Formats: sequence, structure tokens, C-alpha cells
Amino acid sequence: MHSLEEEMRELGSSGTLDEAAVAHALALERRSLFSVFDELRALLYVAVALVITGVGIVIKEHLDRIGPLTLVFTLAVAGAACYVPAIRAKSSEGGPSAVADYLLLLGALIVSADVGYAESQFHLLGANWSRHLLLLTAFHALTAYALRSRLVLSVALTSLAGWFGIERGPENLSPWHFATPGLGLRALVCSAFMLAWRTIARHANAAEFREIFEHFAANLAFWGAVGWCSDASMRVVGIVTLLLLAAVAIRRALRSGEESFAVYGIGYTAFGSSVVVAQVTDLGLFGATLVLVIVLTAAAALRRLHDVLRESRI
Amino acid sequence: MMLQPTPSEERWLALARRIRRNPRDLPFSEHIRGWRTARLPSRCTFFILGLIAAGMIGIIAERLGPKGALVIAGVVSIAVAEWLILCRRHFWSGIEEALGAAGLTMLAFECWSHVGWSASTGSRFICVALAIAGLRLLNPLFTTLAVLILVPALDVPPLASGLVCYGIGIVALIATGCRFRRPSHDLMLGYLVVVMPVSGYLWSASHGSLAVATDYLHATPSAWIVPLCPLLFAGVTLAVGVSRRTHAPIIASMLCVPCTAYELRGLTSLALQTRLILWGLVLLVVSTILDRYLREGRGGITSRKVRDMDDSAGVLGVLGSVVLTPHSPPKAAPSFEGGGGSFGGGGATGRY
Repeated sequence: MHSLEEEMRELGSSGTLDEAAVAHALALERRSLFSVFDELRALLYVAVALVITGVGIVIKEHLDRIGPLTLVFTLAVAGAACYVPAIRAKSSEGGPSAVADYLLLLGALIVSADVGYAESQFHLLGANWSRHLLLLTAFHALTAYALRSRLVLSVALTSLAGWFGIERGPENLSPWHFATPGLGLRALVCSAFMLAWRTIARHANAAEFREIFEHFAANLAFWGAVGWCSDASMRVVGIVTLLLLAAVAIRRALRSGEESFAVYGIGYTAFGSSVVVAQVTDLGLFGATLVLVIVLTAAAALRRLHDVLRESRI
Repeated sequence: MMLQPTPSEERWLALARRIRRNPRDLPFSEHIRGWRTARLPSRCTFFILGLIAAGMIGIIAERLGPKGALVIAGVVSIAVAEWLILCRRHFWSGIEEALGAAGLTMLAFECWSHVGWSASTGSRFICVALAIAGLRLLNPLFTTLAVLILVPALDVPPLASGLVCYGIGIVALIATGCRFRRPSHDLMLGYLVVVMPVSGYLWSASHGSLAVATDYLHATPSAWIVPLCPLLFAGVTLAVGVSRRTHAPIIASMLCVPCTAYELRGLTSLALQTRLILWGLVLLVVSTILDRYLREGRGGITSRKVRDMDDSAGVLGVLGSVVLTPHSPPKAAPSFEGGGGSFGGGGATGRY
């Protein structure tokens, strides 16, 4: 164990922290106040993951035994039940608890699975079956705004990305999956769509919602551009796009003080450029030296940005 | 010339990080004396960049063709890491950690290649390299990896390896009760408390096969040691965590219970999906009860948030929900050709 009590006291006596902040910090250091908030959130996340994985297997393997209609109805009821605590919490004064938020996430995931299953069974949208992802996006977005849930908003944005044909999965996490010009373009268009949505709904967006839009948009756009960098016919376009995106991300970081965007701007650009150099030079002596230069330049630039952001944050 | 931050400097660095202040501001700068760190997102990025840089140094040395290229690359990587620490006063910045650890690992590989490619000898060399890196850089990840690699280096049967892991976990748990001047020493022991019981379970369970459920109804009493050890560890760590009010033992207990549950999965004839849903619901109920019970604080323990959350924690939560979100139906409509569609949703492939 360690305690930073003496340092906290010094901060209090030098006036760096006010009395209330020092008292709170001392309580935490002495462990007279101890929070299990993070542990509970981890438990809730695991619970949601277990239930939704189980539901996924039920949908996949037990269609004949249960019957599609019964399954759709049961999932709808279960999903709806999960929304109740969040709706009740919204009307109470205390605001939504972590439990209500994660139950809401579970509800949203069950609804997504249910609608996807219903579409695959009854072909309600026919050839336009992928539009059910758009419907889910709209539904989850409405729920997220009404109940102010970041988790459900991320479900909505993932559904939107799915509608654009961008899938996530272990095999799709490499830039080579994005290497087709079409997929890279869709990632960029999806990213632009998310930013447009954020701008249009800026009055309804809480600050933390804006953050989610921006993180989603940044990662999608950068991943699309890195994918282009790994495609022989799109390398130049990929590098130019990457540099433009990096400039935008770094500007965003400097304006908002959010370090993550500086990390995106520098990290993805270094990665994309290294991929191009590695492919073109087969990592010979010259190629390896060039990648080393890129990496060291990126590290120096990120260090500089880190220092600038740290100074401006205070 | 300081080799690493003094305990006092390290404590002020940890404090600046904990209350999210700039270490270059007064009064922190007076105590920290120029040491520079990075916040988690940057530290991770620097670490990856450092690993790539070390890899490139290795390739350059190999392409230049001298004998012992790995030694040269290792020495150069360590030299750059030491320059960053001693001259630029970087600490916990990521890049010097990656270069230092990679350099030492390269030297370990070179030594390994000289004495012959035996697995246990290799484990010993890498264990020593990571231990040196961990203690030099005060990095709990490296020290934990060193201890994890030490276990195969002992070259004992799996069950004994498992018991060694539990033993190390228990020793670390006892040691976390001592007062440490350096927060990093506390963190190193905390990591061991969390990781070693899981490693112990994996070793002891690998005695049979992890993928095949053991029939414990017809097993010998000695076989029960595999599921009972993590359960016992969970009970002890939970009690210690709550009484000392430290997070590492509580996290360890949260990881040990699933180990037992997984090991005893063959006791019931329930299908996988039923077990998953039941366990999920049990966890939901337990979390809800705990959340409500502790909302107002019981003996100082609360389920409320008491510190400002770090940005990265919020991003992790969002990332978690992205991972779980189904993004396409179980089966595509027969008329649809996936994968190459155009803008407007036609790109969804329908893979589940």
C-alpha cells in the first residue's frame, strides 16, 4: 500500500487545492472513502456481454425448437423490460445509475439482435434488407438522446457503420481489410455523415455526445485512409488523405485540449506512412531507415504536442 | 545524474497524475525536478512507436550484416532508452520503456542462441531481461511478465507450476499490506495479485485440457484442487481487498470466480447459451444489489464515482459497447450479393 497523504497536505497548505478538495483527497488516501464504481461497471459489462452472447447463440442454433415468432416476441419483451429502469431513473432526481445505463445497453443490444433476426427470417425489407440497420440507428439514436446514454449512442453509430458496410470483427481490424477503394471510401463517407449528424444535432448533444461522434468519425476516417495506403493503386491518395486528416485532428486537439486527437493524427499517419514504405521498399536497409525516421519524427511531434496540450489544459 | 526518479519525485509524479495536474506547474515542478511523463493514450502510442523503432534498429543492424547484429541492435536500443531517461528525463513515457525492454530482450535472445534453443533456458534469459527492464523502468507490466515467464523456466509439472503461481500471488497479497514509499512498487505487487491466480488456474487446468470439461462427479478428490484453488483465492482476496480497501485484490477475486465457474462447467448438463445467460443474469442481479446497497456508502465503501474519470476510461466503455453490437442479421437475403455494394447500405455483407 502507499498513501500520498503528506503530499496532499502540502498541496492544501500551499493553496493549490481548496479545503474541500483536500478533505476529499485525504479521505481517499486514508481509504475512509473507497469507491467500487469501476469494479461494478466491469461486472455490469461482463454481465451484458454474457447475456447477449447467450442470446446470439440461442438465435443461431435454436430456431427450429422455439419458432421464429415466439423468439422475436420473447426478445422484444426482454429488450423492452431492460429499458424500464433507465426510463424510471430519468424521471427520478438522481439521474441514471450505472446499472440502469448498462441495462439500457443490454436492451438496445437485444433489440438489435431481435430486429436482425426478424429481418433474416421474414425478409420484411426484401432486397433492401440492410435498411433495418438504418432503422436501428434511428431507434437507438432516439433512445440515446431521450435517455442521455453514451453507450446506446455508440450502438446507434455502430449500426450506422454497419449500414455503410463497415463491419467490425477480428478479421476486419487490419487496414488490409479496408484496402479496397470502395470500402475506404465508405469509411470516409460514414465518418463525414457522423460529423454532419453531430453538427445538425449540436443543440441536442451533450458535450459527451459530441465527443463520441468525433472519436467514431476520426477512427473510421483514419482507418479508411490507412486502408488506402495499403492498396497499391490508392497509395498516393491514401497518404494525401492521411495528411489532411492528421492536420484536422491535430487542429482539433489544439483547440479542445483533447490529447486523443493528437494521438490519432500522429499515430495513424506514422502507421500509414510506414505501411507504404514497407510495401514499396520491402523493408530493405533504406526502407527500415526510412521507417525509423518516420517513427522517431512521429514520437518527437507527439511529445511536443503532448507538452503543448498539457500547458494549455491548465 | 539520477538513474530514475527518487521515491519523493515518483510520489509527486503519481500525485500530479492522480489529480490531473501539470507536473511542470508549481508546486509539483519543485518536487519533480524536470522528470517528464505521458498520459495513458500518449504513453501507449509512444510504447508502440518505441517497439517499431527497436524493430527497425534490429532490421538495419541485420541488413548491415555484421556478426552479432542482435547484440548491436539491443545495445543501441538500450543506449537510446538510457539517453532518453538520463538526458531528457523521460520516465513512464512509453518510448524509453519500449526501447529498453526490447533492447534487453534482444540481448536475451542472443544469449539464448549461443547456449542452444532449449525452452527453459530461453525462458530464464527472457525472464531476467524483463525483470531488469521492470526494475530499471519501474514498470509493473514488465515485472509481471518476468514472473509469468519465470514459471515455465522452473521446468516443473503443470500442477506444480499452478501452485507456484498461487504461492507467488499469496506472497504478493501479503506484501501489499506493507507501506511502500514508491507507488510503482505497490503497483508491481498489485499486478501480481491480479495476474498470478489466473495464471495458476491456467497452468493447473492445462494439466488435463482447458477445452474439455472435466467430469468432477467421478473425479478423484485431488482433482478438485484445480477448481477449488481459484475459489479459495477469490474468497481470501475479496476479504483482504474489502478490509484493506484496495482494488487489486478485489479485481483478483472477480477474475478467480469465473475460473472456478469455467472449470466446473461440466457439473451441469445445461447448454452453453443457458449457462451464459444465467451467469449474466446472476451478475446483473449481484451488481444491482451491490450498487443499491453501497449507493449511500457503507463504512466508507460506496458504489458512486468519487474521482473524475479519465478520458480513456470513457472511451473504453464506448469501445466495449461497439464490440458487442450486432451489425448485420444472421443471414443475408438470398438475392443480396454482399461485400461489394455501393453507397447507401449495400456494403453490409450479412455476416454475423
